[in-house]
Amino acid sequence: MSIQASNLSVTINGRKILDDLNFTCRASEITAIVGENGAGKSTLLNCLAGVSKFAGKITLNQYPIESLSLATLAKYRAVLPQSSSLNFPFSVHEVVRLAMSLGCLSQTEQERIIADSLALVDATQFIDRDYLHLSGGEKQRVQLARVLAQLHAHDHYQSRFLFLDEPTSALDLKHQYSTLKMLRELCTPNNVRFNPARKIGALVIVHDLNLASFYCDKILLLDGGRLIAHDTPEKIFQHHIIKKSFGIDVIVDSHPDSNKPYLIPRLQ
Amino acid sequence: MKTASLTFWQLGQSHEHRRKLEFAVLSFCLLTLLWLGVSIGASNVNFLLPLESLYSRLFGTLEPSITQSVVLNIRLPRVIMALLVGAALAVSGASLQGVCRNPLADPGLLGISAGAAVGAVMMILFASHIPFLHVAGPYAVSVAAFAGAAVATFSVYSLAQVNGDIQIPTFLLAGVAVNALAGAMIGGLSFIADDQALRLITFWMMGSLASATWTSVAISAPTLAIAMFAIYRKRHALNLILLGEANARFTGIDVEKVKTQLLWLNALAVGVAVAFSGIIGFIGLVVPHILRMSSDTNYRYLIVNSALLGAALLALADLGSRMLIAPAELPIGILTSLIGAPFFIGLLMQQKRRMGFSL
Repeated sequence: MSIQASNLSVTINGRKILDDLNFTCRASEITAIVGENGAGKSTLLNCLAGVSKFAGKITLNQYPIESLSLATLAKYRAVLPQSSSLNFPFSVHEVVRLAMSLGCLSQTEQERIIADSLALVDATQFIDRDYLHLSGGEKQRVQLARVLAQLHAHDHYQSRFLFLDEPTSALDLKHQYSTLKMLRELCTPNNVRFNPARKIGALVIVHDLNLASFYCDKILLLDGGRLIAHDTPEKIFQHHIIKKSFGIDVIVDSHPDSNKPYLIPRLQ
Repeated sequence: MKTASLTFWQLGQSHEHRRKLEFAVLSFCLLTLLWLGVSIGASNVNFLLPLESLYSRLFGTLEPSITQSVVLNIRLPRVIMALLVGAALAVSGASLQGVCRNPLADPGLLGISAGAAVGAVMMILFASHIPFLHVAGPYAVSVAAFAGAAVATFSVYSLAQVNGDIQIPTFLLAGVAVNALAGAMIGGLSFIADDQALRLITFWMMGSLASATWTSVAISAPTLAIAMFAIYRKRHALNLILLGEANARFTGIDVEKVKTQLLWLNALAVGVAVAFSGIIGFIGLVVPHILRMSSDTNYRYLIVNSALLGAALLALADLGSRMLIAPAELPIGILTSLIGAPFFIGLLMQQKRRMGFSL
């Protein structure tokens, strides 16, 4: 069970945004998509989510993505876009409930999923608050809870994907780490906390390379629309690769708690 | 805004309780206004009239008086028409605000009502020259109004779309342009119209329910009911569109398809409403706003509540238009604009102060 891209290219107004990408991401793996601003990360995520036009081939669990309807796709993958704007006064509870279509689950089941999803992003205390009155980071956590609720609502499908576009961009340090840790647990197979039979894969755009290193299985490094590398953090987070793609000198060390590489930018 | 004005509804302890209470209050208002609308009239005021008429109708024991036949054949269809048109305009406004993701959308402001009036007026002027259409009468006017409303709806919508996104300034300007064009067309048509047609056109521009009959109710009731029910069925999609079109797509909603369907349904509802009552402004704007201030933005409840409150408000406005300068009648469109316009100005000022909403 996987999502697979072959010869994936996107050209907008004669400019190549994505150039001939080939890779496979498996369910039960977290893949971090990293790269400079404008490297094509969000475009790639939109293609994989099935809402952007592309050349080449993308398959989700062996099905060509363009053959799946939006309603079918919604059962197999949930997506958090970079920003969500809501100008109408909804309560947090209502925002999360919107992830589930009318009548697909019983009232009690829906309430359980809403409570679980909010708990996963440490937002249980907001449940009755007005969404518009939350801070930026709190809104982002609630949106993530909504996306998780969409995933939960289709628990009977065994293999599904989460596509998250910068889920930590507005979060404080504690919640950046707790969110990625939660994703790590969610994607770990046979986790007793969740339905053990299911497999969830996640593709996450992050700018903090250390977060990517500590919590992700694979790193997908993009540069100017091309796939530079798709491998484990240990293989990719090396001085010369970072220097080439990001144009910055870093010191690479290994974290005392997990032996994962961590990067310290040089100041000069 | 929501929390500040909740006090009354907070009497209900839980959300569910509050919603039931709200539904009960709105239904009660609607029934009361139905009762008042039938009881009060220029010829006399008698609060037992509805019962007497109903009794004589059902059992035929009493000889129906002239007043009772006034009630059954003039007041009752008129009040029912007010309820239907009010509900349709409010539901239309609520759904357009969702489609456009903007709380300022309204069938009147966007030129949809004016487009429908152009269609209706053209049909009135030219139908007499075409023998078949003359026979079709009220049906033909409805169809023409629907066509006019559809042309206006899709012109404004396609004008406002830039790269698949609704641009709010363009959108409001497109509404202004279509309104101006429709106004000019109606002006031109009234220039060539004879005296009788001119009176009818004036009626269309200012709105009136005076011509409501059982025939017009029979034509409009099923059409408006179907349109409103179809809009109600899109409540989940409307909620998701408020969250952003990308989010709606990711959650499985074919946004373009839903929007097109909703725009057609709006054209139908507004077209038929305008065909039988002329241009009645601000109901579509004001009703969802009052509801958002006092209770829910969620379309699960907003559509039904809008229909109830819109119906009650228009029945109240119709009562006002009949009674304020009795025995003459104030055109109902003038009355709703007199109340609605200051409300709209207040809304704009509030928006300027608030962060949440963005123009």
